[in-house]
Amino acid sequence: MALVPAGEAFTPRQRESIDRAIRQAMQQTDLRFSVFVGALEGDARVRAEALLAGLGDDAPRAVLIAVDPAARALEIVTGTLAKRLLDDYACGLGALAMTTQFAAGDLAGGIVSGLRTLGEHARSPRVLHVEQS
Amino acid sequence: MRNAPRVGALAASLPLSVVLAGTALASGSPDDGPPRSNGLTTVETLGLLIGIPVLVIVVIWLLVYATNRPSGERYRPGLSWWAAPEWFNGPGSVESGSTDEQQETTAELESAPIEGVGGARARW
Repeated sequence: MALVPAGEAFTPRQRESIDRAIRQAMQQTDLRFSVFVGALEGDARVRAEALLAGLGDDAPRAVLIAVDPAARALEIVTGTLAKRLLDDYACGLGALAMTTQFAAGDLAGGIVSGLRTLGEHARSPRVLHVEQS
Repeated sequence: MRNAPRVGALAASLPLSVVLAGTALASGSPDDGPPRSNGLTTVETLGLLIGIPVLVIVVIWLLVYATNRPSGERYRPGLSWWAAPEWFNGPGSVESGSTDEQQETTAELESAPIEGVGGARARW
């Protein structure tokens, strides 16, 4: 892989704000949030799902946000358990919140507001009557 | 350049201020009004009329550019991205670890995708 790191992607303050947003989202939900910022070679979706699988035992209840700034690609992958609490519609809302700020050049701010949106929508599970599902 | 209008305005105001200062000095005579001390010389007048505004401009310019530096915005849409990949709350850590560890885990985590996942995708 001919990737030559040439600097930090975020300032310490931005990194801290992202870490704090991840902690808050995880406190609001029982899900594990993870954010990957880097190149997603090949099929971005397949790559993001492979990254989610790399979370190991936490993968079923994990939510992975994969951002490829060079390709302007965003992938949100929810694990098999996580997608019950965070459906694809809520993920779409989170993706919209993120890409709006990404397009304005605010990478860290978009990630933070996306995490906030996902955390808020995951708090109330849609399926309350499990026996009907 | 963006400073060209400012420089032009300053250059245009220079002869005007000299003319005004010259007439003010020429009209002064010891007979009218209370006795004055020696009036401002041309250099002092220029210093007052031009030096102080220039000083104010420089101070404001410094304040604006010192407090408004691009400290956080390192990403520009459409430009290339050279930064090393970062994985917040990635594998093997409750919080984000160091970048080197993240790169190692990123390289070795080419595992097969899980079936039955959900999510969303977007472009910007």
